[in-house]
Amino acid sequence: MIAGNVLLDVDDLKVHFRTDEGVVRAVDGVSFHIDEGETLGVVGESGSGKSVTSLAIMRLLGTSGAMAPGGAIRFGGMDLLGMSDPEMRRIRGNAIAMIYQEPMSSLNPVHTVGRQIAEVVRLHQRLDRKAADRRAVEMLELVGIPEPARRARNYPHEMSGGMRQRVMIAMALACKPRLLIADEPTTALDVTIQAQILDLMRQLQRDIGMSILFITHDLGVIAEMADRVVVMYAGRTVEEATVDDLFVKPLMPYTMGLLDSVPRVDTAGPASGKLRTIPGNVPNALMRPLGCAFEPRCGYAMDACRRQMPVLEDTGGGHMVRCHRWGDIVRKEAG
Amino acid sequence: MIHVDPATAETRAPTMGKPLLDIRNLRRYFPLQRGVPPGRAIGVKAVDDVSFTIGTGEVVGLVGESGSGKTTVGRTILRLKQPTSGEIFFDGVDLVPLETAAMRPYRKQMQIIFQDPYGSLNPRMNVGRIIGEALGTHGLAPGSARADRIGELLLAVGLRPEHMRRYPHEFSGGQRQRIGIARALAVEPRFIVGDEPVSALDVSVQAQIVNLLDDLRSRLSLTMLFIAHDLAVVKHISDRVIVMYLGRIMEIAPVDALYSSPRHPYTEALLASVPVPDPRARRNRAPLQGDIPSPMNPPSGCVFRTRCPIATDECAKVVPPLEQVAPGHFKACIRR
Repeated sequence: MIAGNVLLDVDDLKVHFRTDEGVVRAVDGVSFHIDEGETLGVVGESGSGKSVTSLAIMRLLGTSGAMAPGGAIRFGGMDLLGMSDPEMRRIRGNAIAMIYQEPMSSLNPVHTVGRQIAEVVRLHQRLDRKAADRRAVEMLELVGIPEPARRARNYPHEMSGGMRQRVMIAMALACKPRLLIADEPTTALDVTIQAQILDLMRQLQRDIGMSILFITHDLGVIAEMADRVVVMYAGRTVEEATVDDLFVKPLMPYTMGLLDSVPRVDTAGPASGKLRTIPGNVPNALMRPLGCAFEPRCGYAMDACRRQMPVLEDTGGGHMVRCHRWGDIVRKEAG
Repeated sequence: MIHVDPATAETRAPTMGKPLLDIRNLRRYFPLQRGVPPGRAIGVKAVDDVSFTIGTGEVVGLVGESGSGKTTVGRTILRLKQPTSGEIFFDGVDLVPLETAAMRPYRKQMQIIFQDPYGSLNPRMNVGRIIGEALGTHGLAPGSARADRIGELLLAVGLRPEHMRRYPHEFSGGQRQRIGIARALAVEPRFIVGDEPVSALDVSVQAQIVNLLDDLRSRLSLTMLFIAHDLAVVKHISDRVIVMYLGRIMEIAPVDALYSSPRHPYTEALLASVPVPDPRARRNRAPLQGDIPSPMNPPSGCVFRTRCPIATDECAKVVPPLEQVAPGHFKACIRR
């Protein structure tokens, strides 16, 4: 991990949506930063606000009913939320690029993949058509596509899912971004192909030196890719730690519950034969509890948890947790 | 090494009773040209010569990646798709030649739970009607007994009887999957195919549903074929596991043997590809290179050979037979 220079700084981000049934606070005061060359994992289940956070950074919330985001997003010293649309367009796809879960729906079906990559290059860099086409082929080669010159003339439907995901990565990296936002980039892929794509992302990160914001629900993928991890629940950060700390000594009962409920291939599993579970469901975004959003599902909950939202506290060494009971939990684990 | 044809050999775990299902040489080809009847089609070999048994009360996991044919196997066994050839013995009776009317009593004994709990529940029906319809089709719990039976089923899957008046959209994903399970259980089936029943659910909810299925299985002595791409989930619920690749079975083994000592290079690679939730166990390199070949044009001989780290020229020539390497443990590989 290269520590030091902050590349992206998200400060008290709030994204609320107006709906017929009321205001949905999808992201409700989220703060984190990513250093140069670092991979920050953001993990959460549906409704946690992890994807909305990434769309807010890219300024892609559009007209989906989102109210103007609150807080600040600073990228390399620039204030992204305060930028004009033309200024933001120069950054998006250039210094900040994004890859998604579904490569098929994010590639244009009527253009060859080579042309789509060349288009991004020409939009952001003063290259003529020939040079841009050459760059497209180089990028396809970089992401490990065999016969890149021939493949550049293929349409997306002529490629497999894994190949399309490589094309999307090639397109995202064509302008050598400083930050890559990867939102569930391997979730739709088969495991043997997922392993290849994760390898590729790690190798390209070393080569290009970019930072990655890696969003996923998969704790296995997080363990493999992230330097630091932010755990989100119901629109807020509930824990933040280095990847080793988070997996070895999680402090938030939600994180502990998540880690316990994942079935694993590498261990024998619980002797009872039953998986441990978190009871109940993720709270409805319109009716979140007054206090800690996890309280209704939490085995450690006490009165204060119902009444008052805990603050995100630094427990030492940058390990942050939003829980009234973390001190008791540490003592219990130690004793 | 003993050569055994699993179509006739005992491929079930020795502890299990006599097989409830006995699948022999099942093939399902999809025509590439329209209008060719499935019986004589030459096209995609979605399932190619697959044989296995499922013992009464046994849960068999069926894993594989895209194009493996695992979903087609499940649907063909239920006769939701007609096999191109092969036999499907259910409790000693071959279902393949049965006409609609003769098939009906078996339909009641075999149910399916789908992946997408939302897409498989009619949004215009309340939960009572959704479950009641299954009961009505098979003439079960008529009249005033019906509401009681629906309430009972909802309780069995961890919901409440008063939920029968609500509509699917009022439930979370996990609750909807519970409704799908209640509907499948309504007709008191003996055999259930779970087709990726937990893959659309959040991690914390997925574990609840896995535990529920495990409970129901022992409480109602259900026999189950659990189809999934997630090897960890399959490990948790299965007694035995079948690994498929491009329409063929690569390995069959009791669950512990499969995960602790896999005998097929594909199974090994599959297990090594799963990211483990432990940063100290990071992989250095993807175990398999290359793409899964198109099922329209599968490799000759062993279908896995194009990605196999130990393949030789010989592998292109012969389709490896399933050979028994230990009691109940079969692998289709001439190199191991």
